[in-house]
Amino acid sequence: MERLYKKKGGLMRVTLRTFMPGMLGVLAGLQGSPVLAADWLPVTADDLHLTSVAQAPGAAAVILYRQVDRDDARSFQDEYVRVKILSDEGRKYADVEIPFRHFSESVRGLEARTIRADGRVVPFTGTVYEKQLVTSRTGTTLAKVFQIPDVQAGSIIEYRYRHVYSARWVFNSRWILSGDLFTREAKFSLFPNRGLSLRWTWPNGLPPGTAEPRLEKDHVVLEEHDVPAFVTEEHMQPENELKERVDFIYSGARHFETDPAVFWRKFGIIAWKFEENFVDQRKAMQRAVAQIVQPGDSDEAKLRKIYARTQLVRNLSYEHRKTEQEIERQDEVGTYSVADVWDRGAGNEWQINYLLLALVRAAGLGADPVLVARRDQYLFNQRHMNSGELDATAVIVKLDGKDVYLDPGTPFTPFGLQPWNDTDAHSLRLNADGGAWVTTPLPDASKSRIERRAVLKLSAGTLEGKLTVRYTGLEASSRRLSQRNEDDTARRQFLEKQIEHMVPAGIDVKLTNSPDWGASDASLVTEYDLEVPGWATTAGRRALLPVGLFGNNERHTFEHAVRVHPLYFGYPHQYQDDISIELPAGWHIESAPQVRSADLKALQYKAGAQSDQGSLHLTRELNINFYEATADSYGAARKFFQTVRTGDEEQVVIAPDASSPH
Amino acid sequence: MRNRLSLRRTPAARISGRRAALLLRALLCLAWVGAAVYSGSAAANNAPPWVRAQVNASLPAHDDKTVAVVLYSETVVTVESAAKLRRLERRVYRILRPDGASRGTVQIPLTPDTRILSMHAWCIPATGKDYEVGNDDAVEAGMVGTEFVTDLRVRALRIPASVPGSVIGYEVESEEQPRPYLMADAWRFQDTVPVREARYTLHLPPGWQYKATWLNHFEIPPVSEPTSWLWVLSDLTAIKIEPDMPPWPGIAGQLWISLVPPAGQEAGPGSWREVGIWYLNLGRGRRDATPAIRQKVAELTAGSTGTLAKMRALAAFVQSDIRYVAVELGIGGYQPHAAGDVFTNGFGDCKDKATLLSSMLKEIGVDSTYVLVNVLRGAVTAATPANPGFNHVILAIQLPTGLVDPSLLAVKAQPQLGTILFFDPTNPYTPLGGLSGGLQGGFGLLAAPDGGELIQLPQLASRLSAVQRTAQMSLDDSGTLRGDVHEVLTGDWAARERGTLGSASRDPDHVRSVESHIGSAFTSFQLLKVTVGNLRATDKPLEWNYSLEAGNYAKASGDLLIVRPRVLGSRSSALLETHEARQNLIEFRSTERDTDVFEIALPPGYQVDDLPGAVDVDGGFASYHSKTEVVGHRLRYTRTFEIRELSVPAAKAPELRDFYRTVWGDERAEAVLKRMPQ
Repeated sequence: MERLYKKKGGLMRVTLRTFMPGMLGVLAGLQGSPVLAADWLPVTADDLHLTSVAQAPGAAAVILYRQVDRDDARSFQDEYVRVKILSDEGRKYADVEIPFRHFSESVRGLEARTIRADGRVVPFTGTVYEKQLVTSRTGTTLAKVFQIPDVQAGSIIEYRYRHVYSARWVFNSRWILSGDLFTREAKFSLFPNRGLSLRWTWPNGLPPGTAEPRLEKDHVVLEEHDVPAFVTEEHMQPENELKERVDFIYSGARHFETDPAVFWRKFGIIAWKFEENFVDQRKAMQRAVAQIVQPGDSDEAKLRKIYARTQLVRNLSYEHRKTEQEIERQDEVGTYSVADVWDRGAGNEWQINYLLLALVRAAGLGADPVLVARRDQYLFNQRHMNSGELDATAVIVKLDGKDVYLDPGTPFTPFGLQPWNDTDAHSLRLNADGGAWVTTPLPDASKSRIERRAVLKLSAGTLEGKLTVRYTGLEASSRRLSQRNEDDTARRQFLEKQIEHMVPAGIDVKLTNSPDWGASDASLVTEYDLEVPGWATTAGRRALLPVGLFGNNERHTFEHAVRVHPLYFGYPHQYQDDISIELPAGWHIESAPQVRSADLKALQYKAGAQSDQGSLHLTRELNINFYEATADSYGAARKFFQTVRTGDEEQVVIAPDASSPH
Repeated sequence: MRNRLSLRRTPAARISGRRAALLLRALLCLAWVGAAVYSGSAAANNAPPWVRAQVNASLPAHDDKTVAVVLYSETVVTVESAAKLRRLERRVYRILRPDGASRGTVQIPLTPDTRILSMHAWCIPATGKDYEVGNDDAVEAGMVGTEFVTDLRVRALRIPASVPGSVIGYEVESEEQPRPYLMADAWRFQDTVPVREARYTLHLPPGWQYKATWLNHFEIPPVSEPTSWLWVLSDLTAIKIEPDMPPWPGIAGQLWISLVPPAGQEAGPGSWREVGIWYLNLGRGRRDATPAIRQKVAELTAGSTGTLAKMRALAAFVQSDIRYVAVELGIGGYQPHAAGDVFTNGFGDCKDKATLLSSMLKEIGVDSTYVLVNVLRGAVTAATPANPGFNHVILAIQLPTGLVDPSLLAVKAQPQLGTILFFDPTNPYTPLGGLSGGLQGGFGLLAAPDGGELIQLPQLASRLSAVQRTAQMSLDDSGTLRGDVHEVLTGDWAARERGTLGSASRDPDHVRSVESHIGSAFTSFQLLKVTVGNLRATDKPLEWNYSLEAGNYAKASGDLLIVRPRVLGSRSSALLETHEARQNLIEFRSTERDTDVFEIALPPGYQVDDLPGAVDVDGGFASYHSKTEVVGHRLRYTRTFEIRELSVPAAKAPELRDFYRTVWGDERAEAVLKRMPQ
């Protein structure tokens, strides 16, 4: 959702901050001593005696009232906050910290007071400290800090201040509509800068019952009531994308587009021209491609060879974090085209993808560039018209009539796949006409697997033997990517830790092979010596073996009864376990659990135990066939994972043979 | 480096949270923005000779996990006068592994008394030209601990190309104003990586002397000249960072240098006695009661009869009504605010709260004094030389003659003061009489009127920090377990639980707390009722009562039903499940004792076919006893888990690991029920 405030003559270009020398004289004259918009509001007897809020049971504190009035013409923002302290824990909200940038911002007119439960008002007369948060060559961030005195459960505290910004700049801003505390009432207003055009959006929606921001005379205004506190949950979307807010974005563009289709067409044309300018090195690319492919190669063979070759280019985006001097040396010679990338054998993420694009075209295949909105950062919406959210690239190649999405710029990405956060993502396929919206493919769960195969012996309650874990698809590439700059020792520790997290017991595990960390298409195969002390439990003369040796990751999934946010798993993936356990001599399987399964289509689980001549064969499959679902699905998903846990804790009963001396 | 008296200041906590993020962001900004504006040198081979000399130096002994080694460490301290001290710090590392890159971020703590004169760093990469960064590249940030306002800061500098194969070095020159109460310096020469060579040089003006004290390392004589002394150590082993290990000051090698000015000049405290006097003088007059305090004392004690009841009322007021807010500027890092100000403001830090309570107690005729402690048990030991390097203040309350009560546990006889009760008014969850596990057994400085005395705080019996769980459950033939659980928590257990629940901002968070607590015990469950008792009555045990229903608790296997008698609660630990030998002591949070009694009514038609055996283990430092039996048609499980000692030597780590394995085995042990023929 978005709205627009457009003023005639608003022609200046704005990013985050805009220098407006022409307005300096006018605005400087307007910055006198701060005058806050409102006096303290009256306090009702009900608020004085309030002990709880029905919509926020047990809350330590609630915001009774909040008001934010921003004036971008006169470069200030007034804030007013009134908080009811409901318990001792809520007294921490009397410690207030207001950050600001030194020199370009200031905090003025700070006033605060406590209204005790008996109605007595205690004004704040203490010290307001100025605390240094961080200082660097690029500036200093300070904070005004103070403690409101005499605060007890039952008190109301309130404070107000004016945040004054440099008149030379206009800042984009936002209203955060949901926070740590329940908000009973809040009012927001913004007076736009008249020299610029302003657009406002509420990308994550508005709190229930809240009317859309509206323009009243020259102000944008919004009121909200009874907004619940924001809660954090497991398996949720990016937190910042779930908090309701209103974003205000200024533009000095001559024509501030209100039509997303037009906006994106214009953006697409610019992006296309940039890309064409970068990749248009036909002769150089033809020479390069001749070194990669053979004349008789099929299109697919050509494409795979080119893909593999571009993955060998040194990827500067994924090296260790560099300092300014390192970057300076690295950029001593500029990179202006794909020919530069090829000649230097180095480039960053998008440059490598565009090298692939150029090489593929030079090989005679059709290919288009794609700008992708990574979904680990944003929940992209075209209507927001925020081109910055298209923060990744890929290349679509037409192969045998089908589109193949490729991303060699992300190291270790298998041919035909993209990193998980680029899958099922809104993307703009660029062309001379501005491009077309596409959604990147979502590989099914079978493409990203963790297969665990163990051959173990049971002795004195301890399992001991060999374990092989094979990671495929995105499971392999994500691990290779995370460990790309590590050495063998760190990688070994990383892998061993992964196994430790899989097993719901203390274990001794040692990596015994040298996994292939450099490959992309091949699985990441890891082998271990594994010892699980005390895995078999005793029950008198019998012993019991749980079947879910690798079920630790699911032990606490969705254990809470209540859910607020949608579910989010990243990407579809599978686990498959196959475990053979040789029983001690003289022991036999007395009983084994039935196959336990659950099938919600989106979530599938199956675990079983079979007896096999003195040994036990355990199998387990867990398929996560989706990556997002509404909060309504939580009950079913929770029940599913309860079934998984129940299945994993099923026991195989073993007992000594009758003739055995045990 | 100043070490102030505020709660929970640890090196790891100094730069954390949002401030750390800001600092990191600023460093990153410099990396990217600076690329456009940087015009500094990237000259070839400009590293100074003392860095370059280490390029071909042999490496100290190390294993394949070592991320870097210190090739050269040099500290030069020059005392110019009683008012000025100059310090030169130099370090040279070789980065061996990618994780060693963290050595490329130099962080120098700053106090208002410290001025950095210059800060430079260099990198000699495996290939290519040297890098150099300096003052202009540094970033400064306020430190973050528990203080609301502090003037402690940190300056940080990132050294380029801190990657394996590089040799990096830095040099920091600073000027300090020695504080008269801390005329001393500490040389901490050990590291978490091996050190090839470490040097410490002391230059003193004529007439000055020093006294050296070695901690956690044997004594090394210096190379002496008339006014300078040089200590050199080589091939120092790394200290391994392990979970639940003692604090760094308690195990790392260090040399304490106490400075002694010529006669006639003000000297720092040379003994614990003098440190105690210094601190009492610092707080002199601050504990004087104001009329408002007197009125409040009268109001709080009006309904109480007897001294102890009055003490409790005053202690509870300071614990709960005075918020913990630390404002520490200048000497305020050590000096408490006046009791009257603390009372008026309604907030203060640890020493402020101790000051106010001391003032209030005095009004009812009870004397008390400060005890300076370190919240990390083991950071100060009996061998630590006199210094004010504590980070917390509690009170020693002189119990009036004849005042004896079983609730007064943290007591100790002291020759001058009689029986004293240790009490921490900053801890809102440990009532008068108790002492948190973290403080038990540690050393503190009793600021007695006749002078300070380093004393060991009492260690309380394990039974005083306990969980008692009882459950009355019933099992049906489908495996569903139903029933009621009652938990009674005392001592540190109750304090920790109250702390967790205190940070919960909503009632539903209490339910979530129980869900998380019992989630590992059941594969599926539903809480039918949850209540928590005595949440705010810290002088009473905290009580949980909840009813639950857990489907599939017992697993059917043919005509067998397999049921775990240990319904709830886990005390096993995988802490020592590692193939590497333990290097450090294992520290427990406190001594404690758990007792569980769980009864499960068996489903009709089933009888017990197999029971887990009893377990009885006693390793001295801890013990575990459990038993499963059939009582009527019920399964009855009882157990006791007890930690008796606050720490276990590394040599006993295998014993402790086996102990935990035994506990784990018992916790998972099952009873087998068999369906009776119809």
